[in-house]
Amino acid sequence: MSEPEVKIRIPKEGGLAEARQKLKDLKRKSPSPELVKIIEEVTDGENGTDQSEDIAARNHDRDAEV
Amino acid sequence: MGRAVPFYKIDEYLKTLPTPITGCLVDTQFLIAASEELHVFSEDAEFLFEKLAEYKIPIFTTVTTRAEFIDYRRRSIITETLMGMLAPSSPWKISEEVTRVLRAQKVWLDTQAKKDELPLLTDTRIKTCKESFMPKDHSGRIGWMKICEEYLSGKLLEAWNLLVEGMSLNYLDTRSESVAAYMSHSLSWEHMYSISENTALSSSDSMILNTLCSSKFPFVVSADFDLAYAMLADSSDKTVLLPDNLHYHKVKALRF
Repeated sequence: MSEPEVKIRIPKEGGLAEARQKLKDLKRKSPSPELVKIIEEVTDGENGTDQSEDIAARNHDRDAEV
Repeated sequence: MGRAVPFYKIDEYLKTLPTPITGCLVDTQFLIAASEELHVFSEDAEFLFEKLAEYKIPIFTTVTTRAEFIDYRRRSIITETLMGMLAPSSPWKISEEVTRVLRAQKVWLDTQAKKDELPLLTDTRIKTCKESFMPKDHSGRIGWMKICEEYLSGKLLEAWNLLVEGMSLNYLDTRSESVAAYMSHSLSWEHMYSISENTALSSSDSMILNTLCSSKFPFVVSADFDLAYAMLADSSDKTVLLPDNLHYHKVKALRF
């Protein structure tokens, strides 16, 4: 019995541009609300990525009061 | 001795080859450049791909390029996800400590980008980030795994399949019987060691060159100086095709 013939693919013009777009689209843009909540709990996050700025602002206000 | 030819001379080069051309190999750096619009050799890769399409030359990958591309994609997704947590408009809520860890990585990534290097976190840096997502209160919820589940799960296979489909890639399975049609002699580990020892080439690149040297393919398309250097130092009659800038600035003057 002969071995099934392996089909060889030949590159098609424009195929790469299409692949690039699909690869870009494949990447998830934003997290689900559930994941945001889990990460907040796990890392004990409070106010998102602006937290350090908030703390700095609070410290500044406190210093100003002193 | 091996040869290096810049992409812009591909028409001239292909005319020197006997027809039909069985196919060519591609290395991982070329695949990355082809898939990533922001890559420094992105336009070169597109140009070369269109030429291969024009001449109807089948493109072959190997187990090495496949594994390395998947690894690149993994690091790319994780890097983008983690750096996305620092964006001003980010919905993520992370602690000051995690923010500090991620900002330190961002400084390094920015430096890489300025040097025209791919801004991808290394495994050591990813490990540092992974540790910062360990649960603080033993709640049993592992944040890192949840991130992987949402951002990586199924995405590596899908990315590879999209690339295979879009670029019409063929996979050179050296274990299959049909591979004989593309090989001039069987692969030998001894030759792979010798390629690596000759110029201190990485084992991955050595495996690609080893496959090329044992195949009927006349050339490999690359975007990697190390692989080009090793090709020139090799005693085979094979050729490496390189982006014009890389060839002009780093390879053209090399003499062995």
